[in-house]
Amino acid sequence: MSSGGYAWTILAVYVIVGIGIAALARRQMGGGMNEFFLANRQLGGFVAALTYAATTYSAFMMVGLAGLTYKFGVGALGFELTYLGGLVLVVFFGPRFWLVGKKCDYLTHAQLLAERYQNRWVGIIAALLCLVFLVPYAAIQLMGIGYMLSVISEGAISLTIAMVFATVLSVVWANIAGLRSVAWTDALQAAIMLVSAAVTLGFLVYRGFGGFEPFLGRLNTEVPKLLAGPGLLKFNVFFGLALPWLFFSLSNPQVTQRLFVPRSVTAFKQMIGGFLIFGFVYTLVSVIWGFGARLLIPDLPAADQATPYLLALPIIPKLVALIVMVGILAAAISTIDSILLSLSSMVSRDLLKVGFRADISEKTELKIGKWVVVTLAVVFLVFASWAAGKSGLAFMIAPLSAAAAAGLLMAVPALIGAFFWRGATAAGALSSMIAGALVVLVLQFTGTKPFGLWPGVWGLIVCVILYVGVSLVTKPPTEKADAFIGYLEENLPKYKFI
Amino acid sequence: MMMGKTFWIWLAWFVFLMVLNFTVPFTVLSDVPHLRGSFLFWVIWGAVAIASMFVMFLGWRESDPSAQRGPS
Repeated sequence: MSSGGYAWTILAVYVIVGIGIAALARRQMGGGMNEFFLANRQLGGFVAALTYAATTYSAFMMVGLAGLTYKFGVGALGFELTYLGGLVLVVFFGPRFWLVGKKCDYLTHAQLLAERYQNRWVGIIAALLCLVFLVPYAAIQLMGIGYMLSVISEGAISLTIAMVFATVLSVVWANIAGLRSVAWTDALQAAIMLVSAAVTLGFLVYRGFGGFEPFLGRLNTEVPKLLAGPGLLKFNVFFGLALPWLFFSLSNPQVTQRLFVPRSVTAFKQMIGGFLIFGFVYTLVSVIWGFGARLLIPDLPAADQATPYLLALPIIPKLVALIVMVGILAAAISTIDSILLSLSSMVSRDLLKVGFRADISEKTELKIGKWVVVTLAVVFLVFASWAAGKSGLAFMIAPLSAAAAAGLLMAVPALIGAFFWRGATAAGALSSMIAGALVVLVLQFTGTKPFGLWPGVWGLIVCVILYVGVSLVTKPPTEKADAFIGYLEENLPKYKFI
Repeated sequence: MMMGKTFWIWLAWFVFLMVLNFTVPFTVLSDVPHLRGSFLFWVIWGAVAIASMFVMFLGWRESDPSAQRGPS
């Protein structure tokens, strides 16, 4: 059988098993928005941990992070572990989201913000931020798939066909049973991602270098510049990439929405603990993978192609390479379908129902949400097709991810303030999100980095100053702030939450 | 929101960890071209951060939902 034949066969198995799991999930599905978008807030700890991992970790890891390591060295490890260290925000804010989410039936963080600040425009702008900045983030998942499938299948699957395939699969899995089918397929996909990556790393190290000791020895002698300090990443680049990543767990709706879904405190603990262990192992595997590529194929024209070219080497058995290909495909699809669900819930709930049409029925709201899934998927595909034709650092997968995270970061001060600051106001939240996002967009599109600082850093500075300054001179929604924060003060100790 | 002593201790600890993260590889380890330099530092740093989070959340416990009563 040809490479293309094997590739399509393995993809067919993956699709059939995934659809089977999604169909099983559908059997448990009830009706309504909460059920479709939040699995009725009843996910167990094991599935919650794996869906959190599969949603967070995308094609970025084995393609983008490996590419970043290939090009810049050990700083890529620090950058990604900064994100994992930032998960302390979930340990701290997660229980707060969970408690108020259950009490007030919040579907999205934008809805939480709109109600907390007593202003629908806060929710509308928070939702628009997600829509604007998650399009490039979702699109790079498709680009990652496109690059990889076309190389591994030796051209039998073209870049465009691969991206269309992933888009269709994401829409199908998101629409079969909403978050329930996404979470269950995510659990399968997370397992494929981790196991396939670890097994292939074994082949790389033992067949490519003769074991870990020779591999590490060659790293020390052949690429010492990639190991000294942060490697070739300058501080301002490292800081510019890492800062938005540090707050990723609060800024991205597809992960904040997962803070609403564990069915119990035990499930919540299992979700965080399971994800932390998964993340640590997966990060190390991806970075070591990138270093291996640097030693074996040092002269690639584009760092993002490190993984596909590595998988095409004879030291990796074809079957193993194809399974890893499915693992990376799984990583990308599990992120895309979660983003699709999350954004469609924001369009139907925050833009439409809370924003402009409070009178629409839940049935209509859900119907619209399902159609938005399809529409957004087409937008992702169009953006990815456009961006895949570009080259250079600006269109490398890692910086594009960080740029998206930088934009989403602009809602974080308003979110943190919502839980702590009774004096915070809607005007402060609105001005901070709008001005911060504009700063990020202008700097990103013009390629400007004043004083060497990246767009996310400048955006956050403007955002925080406006949030605090404007809030101080405007009138807060005192009654709601007291009720919201008071509820948490009363209930957090009952669960021994910090 | 009134925060307890535990919160401030954890906040100080994680701020300290983040300061290390953004300074040590760029200063102390900038001339160590070896896996025993920044690579080892960040692996240990990650493990310590994760272990700290486990300590933070392992004490959480279930509560009787019927006991929750807050302002509407």
